[in-house]
Parts: sequence; C-alpha cells; structure tokens
Amino acid sequence: MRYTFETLEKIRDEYKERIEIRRKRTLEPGKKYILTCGGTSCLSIGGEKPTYQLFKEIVEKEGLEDKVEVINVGCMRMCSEGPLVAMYPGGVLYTKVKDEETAKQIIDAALSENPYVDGHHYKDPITGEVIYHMWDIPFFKYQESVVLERVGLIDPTSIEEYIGAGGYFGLARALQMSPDDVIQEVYDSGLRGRGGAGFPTGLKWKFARQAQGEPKYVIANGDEGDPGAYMNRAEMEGAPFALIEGLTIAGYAIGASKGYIYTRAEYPLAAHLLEHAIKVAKEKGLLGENILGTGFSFDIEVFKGAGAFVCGEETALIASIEGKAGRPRPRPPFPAQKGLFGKPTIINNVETLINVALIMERGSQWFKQLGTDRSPGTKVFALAGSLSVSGLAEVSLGTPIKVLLEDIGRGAPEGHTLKAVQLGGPSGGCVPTEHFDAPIDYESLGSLGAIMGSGGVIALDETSCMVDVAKFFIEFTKNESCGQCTPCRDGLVEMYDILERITQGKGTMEDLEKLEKMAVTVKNTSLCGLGQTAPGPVLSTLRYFKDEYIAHIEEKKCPAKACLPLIEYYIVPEACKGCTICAKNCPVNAISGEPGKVHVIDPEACVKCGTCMAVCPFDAVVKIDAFGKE
Amino acid sequence: MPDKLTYEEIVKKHIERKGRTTEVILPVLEEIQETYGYLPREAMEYLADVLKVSPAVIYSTATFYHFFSLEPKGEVIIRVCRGTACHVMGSGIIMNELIDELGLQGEGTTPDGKFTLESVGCIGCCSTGPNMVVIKDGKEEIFGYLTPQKAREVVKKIKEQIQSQGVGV
Ligand SMILES: Cc1cc2nc3c(=O)[nH]c(=O)nc-3n(C[C@H](O)[C@H](O)[C@H](O)COP(=O)(O)O)c2cc1C
Ligand code: SF4
Ligand code: SF4
Ligand code: SF4
Ligand code: FES
Ligand code: FES
Repeated sequence: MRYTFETLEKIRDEYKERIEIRRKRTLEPGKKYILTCGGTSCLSIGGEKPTYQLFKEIVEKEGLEDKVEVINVGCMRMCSEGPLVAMYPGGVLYTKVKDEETAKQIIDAALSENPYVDGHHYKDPITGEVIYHMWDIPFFKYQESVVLERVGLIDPTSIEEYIGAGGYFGLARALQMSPDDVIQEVYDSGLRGRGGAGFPTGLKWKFARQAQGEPKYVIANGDEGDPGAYMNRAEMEGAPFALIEGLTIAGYAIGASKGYIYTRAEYPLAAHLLEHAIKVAKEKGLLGENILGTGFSFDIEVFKGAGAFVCGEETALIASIEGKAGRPRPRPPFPAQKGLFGKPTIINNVETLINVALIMERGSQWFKQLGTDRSPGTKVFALAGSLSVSGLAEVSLGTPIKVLLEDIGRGAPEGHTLKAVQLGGPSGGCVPTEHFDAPIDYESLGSLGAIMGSGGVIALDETSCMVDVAKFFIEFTKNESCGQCTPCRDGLVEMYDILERITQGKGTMEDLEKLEKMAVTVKNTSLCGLGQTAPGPVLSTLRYFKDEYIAHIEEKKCPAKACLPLIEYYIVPEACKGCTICAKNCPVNAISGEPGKVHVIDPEACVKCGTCMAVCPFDAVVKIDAFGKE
Repeated sequence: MPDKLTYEEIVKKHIERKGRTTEVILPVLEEIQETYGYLPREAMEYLADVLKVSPAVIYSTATFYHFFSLEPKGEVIIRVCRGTACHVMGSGIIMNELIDELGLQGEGTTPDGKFTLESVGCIGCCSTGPNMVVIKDGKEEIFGYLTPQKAREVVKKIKEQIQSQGVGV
C-alpha cells in the first residue's frame, strides 16, 4: 500500500504507544518489551547464537508471546559492555548476555516484581556501584539523544516503527514547502557538515540548486574512512530509514531525481539493511515515483566501495562510482557545479543528512538550541582505546573533551592514566590531558592542532608511544595515498622512513628537523585533503610530545615501552614463583627454568610477542629498556 | 554454496539493470571477486569488451582498490584489524601471533592455499577490539576482544574443521 499524508499520521498514531513504552524510565506492570542489540560489536563478542535468537526461541518455546515482545535493534551505544539487552518499561539494562541460561534468567526476572539479574548489570568502574537502569548510568546520563534517538530503540527493518517514532514527518513537511524554503530552513539551522570539514550544509545546497545542468545528483557519504570510528555504521544500521529520509529531502531541495548511498565494503550489514529499507520505502510510496502523491520522484541506490580510504574524499568518491580508480581531482570546480558524470552533485556525510531530516521535522529554531552559536547541534563520537567504558557518545557541540573521556567513558581502566586523546583519525591530531577542558567544536579543536573530523575519539594512556602513534598514521596515509601528486606520494614515504628510524633508536636530531619541514611541505602542497591533513598526527605530537621523540633519539628509550626494538621482556627474579606458565606459552621456547625456580628469558631468542607478560599470574614479567640497562 | 554465477552472467545481470555504463565496473568486479575469490584476467577483458572500453581502464580500477586481488586467495580469509583503536589495543601482536601460527613470513597466503592472512583498515567495532574477521564458506564472522592466545585458538579450530571436513568427503 502506498502512503499518503493521512496514512502517515494514522501509522504514527497506531505505533506511537509501542515506541513511547521504550522511553519509559520507570517500571510498570503489563507487557514487557525486550530489546536485543543487533549491532556488529555485540554480535562479535556474543555467544554462538545472536542475542535476538536466544530470546526469541525461549519466548516461542514457552508461549510467552502475549507477555513479552522481543525486538532486535541497532547499536545501543555502550558496546564495551555488550552484548546488551534492555527491558521496557523501565529501561533495565543487562550486560554481557551471551547464553541461553542468562536469557532465560532475564525473561523470568522481567516477568517478576524484581527484574534484575545478578552479575549482568553495569558496575561503575569508579564508584563500584551497580546501576540497573540505563538512564542512571553515567555513560548515558551525560549524553544527548538526537541523531541517535532512534538508533537502538526501533527495529531498523520496520518502517512503521520508524514512523511511530516521528520518522518521515521531516520529508512530509519538506514536500509541502518549496525547495528554496527547504534550503533556507537548513541554512537557518546553521547545520555544518559532519564529514570533517564543517562546511555549512545549507550553503552547499544553494550552490547546487543554482548550478546549471541536468540531471543533478545527491550522494550520502558513508565511506567512514577514519580507521577507528564507527558512528556512521551504527547510524546506517540502527535507523536506515532516517538516512533515506534525509537524502530524499536533499534530492527534493536541489532538484535531483537520483541519490546514492556510498558505503564501505567492510560494512556488509549496513548495506544490507539500507537495501532492505529502500525496497520497503518504495513499496510505501515514500521513495520512487510520485512520493506521497506530490509528483516528486526520487530513487536511491546503495553503492559499495572496494576498500580505499581516499574514496571518502568527495571527488575520489565520484570517480569511484564512475568505475574509475578513486583519484581526487583539483577543486574548483566543486561537485556542486560539476560532480558525478559532470553534473551538479552534492555530497553529504551520513550524519549530516540524518540531522537534516530532524531539522525538517522540528524546525531550525529547535536545532539551534543545541550546541553553540557557531557549531549548533550535536555530534556522535566513537569512543575507543584506553577507556573503562566505550562505545558511541552523542553530545552537544561545545561540550568539553573531558566529559566524553571522564564522565561518559569513565577514564582509563584501573592502573592506567590517560595522557592524550586522538581526535579525527589520520587527518587529526593528539590533544594532551592539559587541554581536556577545551570545548569540542570545529574552531577550538582546530586551534589545538586536532580536528573534529568525523568523530573518532581514541583515548591514549601511558602505554601508548606518541611517536608510534604518529608512525601508525603516516603508515596508514602512505599506504592509502593515491600516488597522484609528489608531496603526498613521496613525502609521506620519507616521513615514514624517518619515523621508523626514530622508533628503532636510529634517528638523529637532524631527522627530527627534516620531519617537521617535510610535514609542513606535504601539508601545504598536496592536491587533496588526504595529503593536506596527513601530517596532522606528526605535527600535533611534535607540538605536545617532543620530549618523547627526543628520548627515542638521544637515549634510545621509548618512554611508553611500546617500540619493540627499544625494549626487552624481563622476568623479575624476586616476583617469579616458577609456575612455568610463561615457558609453556612462549611460541619460540625462549624461556627456561625449572618448576618452582626462577625463570629466565633469553633475549636473543625472544621475538617480543608479549605472551609471557599476558599469561604470568604473578605479574613477574616486565618490559625494560633494551639500551642502557644494567 | 548455491549455484555460482559465471563472470559472463554477472556482467550480464548488472548491464541489464543499469545499462552499458561504467557505473557497473565496481559492482561487477566486487561480485566477481566474491564469487571467484579473485579477478580472473579473462573476466576483466570480457567486461572491457562488453563496455567497449580499453582493458587498461578495468585493470587500473582493479589494481587500485584493496578488496580486489588478481591472484586467488585462500579458502579461509583472515583479516586482522589494523585500525587505530585495535592498534593501540595490541593488534600488532595478534598479527604476529597469526603469522607464526600459519607459518607465514608476513601477510599472504599459505602454500597449501588454505589460508590468506591480511590486514584491514577498521571494521567498525572499535570499542571491542582488537578484532579480526574470518571469512569462510562465504560467511563472515567477527571476533572481538582478542588476545594472542584467543586468536591462535580460533585459527587452530578452523584448521581442525578443515581437516575433519577433508576426511569426511
Ligand atoms: C582523505 C579524505 C577522506 C574523507 N573521508 C570521508 C568520510 O569517510 N566520510 C565523510 O563524510 N567525509 C569524508 N571526507 C570529506 C568529504 O570529502 C566531504 O567533505 C564530506 O563528505 C562532505 O560532507 P559534509 O559537508 O556533510 O561534511 C574525506 C575527505 C578526505 C580528504
Ligand atoms: S594528496 Fe595524496 S591522495 Fe590526494 S591526490 Fe595527492 S597523492 Fe592523491
Ligand atoms: S615475549 Fe614472547 S617470545 Fe619473548 S619470551 Fe615472552 S613469550 Fe617468549
Ligand atoms: S609465569 Fe610468571 S611466575 Fe610463572 S614462571 Fe613465568 S615469570 Fe615466573
Ligand atoms: S553494538 Fe551493541 S551496544 Fe554497540
Ligand atoms: S579500529 Fe579495529 S574495528 Fe575499528
């Protein structure tokens, strides 16, 4: 059945209650809704069967369908504690749900007066308190729910649930306005692109609307290249209709009839769910010919990338859809003038377009209440690295960095101390602890030598070597360079070689000077954003952590004990109990010793795999400096 | 596995849907890669012929993207995530452990053609790393929160499975 404006409202009213129950934070009698996380992280750390199947099978076997409904949802954000399950009304959150027995316990508990299950709730790493209800947990309490409002709440395959949660009313409103008014509304909201550069979305659309050429195209950039971030993945998997709605609005606004969603090859589940959503939206008349009977027609296709970071750059992305190698081309002309097949094209990040749908639903004034004057709205970040709790965190722009790391992420795990945070991936930089008070917005982060980027946040503790981190990123960008222009192609190789020498203790102070010069040249003379931003990790670590570089060079020491050529594994005789566990696990038999006696590592034979340190139950294995030891 | 399409059929299917446009190049190559495990030379030449473009155009695309390979890959593909989050959580050690377990010198395919070990940028499960993806019989499975021992065990288990399957047939 094809929907009209009236049916849209009818469906919303019909499904509203089912959704509202999942927002109730206090326990109530009656039917229970059990939400299982079907996000990729939870699936990867789960048991044999996906969590949804575990619950579904029990409910069916025991004939509990009237009392319990199981709904599979997208990422519920706190991935590190997964697989997650939530029970509504009440929002009781169960963690680490991996087997049938736990699922059974949860169902029994949910149906009783006391819906809690020992050992499967969040325990705060700082206070030690066990917290049962999701929204009392600091990880959630300090977050906003705007872009992620429906992610982890609704069944991503159900268009009715999406409509019940307010979805498609942004498109409905847009279609009742003129395209110019839609663009004005987006412009007035102050929304800036979430793909990294922060360009005003409304302005980009104005250019494309005014540009000559038919047909016009709109593209959602879901390439998510930053290797350490997955907000776009979770957004596409958790509420695919939201992206489709936003892209359709973009198409209407600039006068396009065709849209693409470009996703990474590494995200098969996202592509699958998007394809499904496109099919359903077409059946319902919310996509395809004559949308909602307004005469506007628009089609969307999912285009899968084939593994090339540079294809996240807009002109390379276009080349890739055209079937070519993904090499960027100089701008201008900008894609808004000459894009896909030479036609006016707009490219927006996935999260930008989801924001568009919300802005059209709720108005630009609503949006401007969030965030700061120059950076309105929220941003979703992917927290990872050395944090006690990690996953997705959505906060208003302008929120201090430390809220993300300390209030939400609960700081480094016990026994570790944070020393920096890496923001923005290979194009970004490292910000040291003394700047954790800085607000997260485009300008502040830029002035600290980092960037907002697409939202990757990696917390680094004392075990991370900043030279190694810089080397890691340069290795990445060097491998991903399209090789088209010299500064990027050759400059990054040269920078990598210098960093490699330094991490092996073979660098000189001249190397360091050369590195810095090279970084500036690559930054200033590369053709595209990849080369222009690739030196960021080097420049920011040189700015804040030069002492670590110097220690590698002058003392041949890695202060973090992370650079393998500069360290050795060593068994502290006083601590070793002679339990033989390390010797049994060493892959190269480099450890000798008799049961009950002190064990010794042969540094010549040791390949520094770290296994002995990981398995020793008495923490007797330590890393020591290889040079200058007694 | 269900009936595999030949490369001619794959090309035909995409052209029927989209017309003779270069837009089909990536999707066609992706499907051939998935079906055959690599891009056979004849397949690329056939595609060039159908699209009336020079084979050099197809090669240039095929060699640019990491997901394509011009040589057959192992029956089981193991991709260790070398993204930033996994890197700082120790994915380098996982990689070394697997190189050792598979008796390889570095990334690559084992001489018996059973395993291919490679690295991947990021698979989007950064909060639960280090991660690896195992692709076997067309199915993908992600393993999270890895330790060197856990990674080794996963591979050992697959080796056992392959062996028992081999005996069974
Ligand atoms: C090397 C490189 C990689 C990029 N990767 C992405 C990406 O993964 N996702 C994205 O949205 N933008 C990426 N961009 C930025 C895009 O070129 C483009 O600016 C963005 O998609 C515009 O959308 P927005 O205005 O909504 O931010 C990348 C840019 C460069 C130079
Ligand atoms: S800067 Fe690097 S990635 Fe960009 S065009 Fe030049 S060589 Fe290619
Ligand atoms: S680090 Fe690895 S190789 Fe070296 S002694 Fe320990 S277990 Fe053996
Ligand atoms: S595992 Fe630890 S305690 Fe046991 S023999 Fe090795 S170093 Fe000694
Ligand atoms: S995937 Fe389950 S919480 Fe993120
Ligand atoms: S860094 Fe490994 S999954 Fe993202």
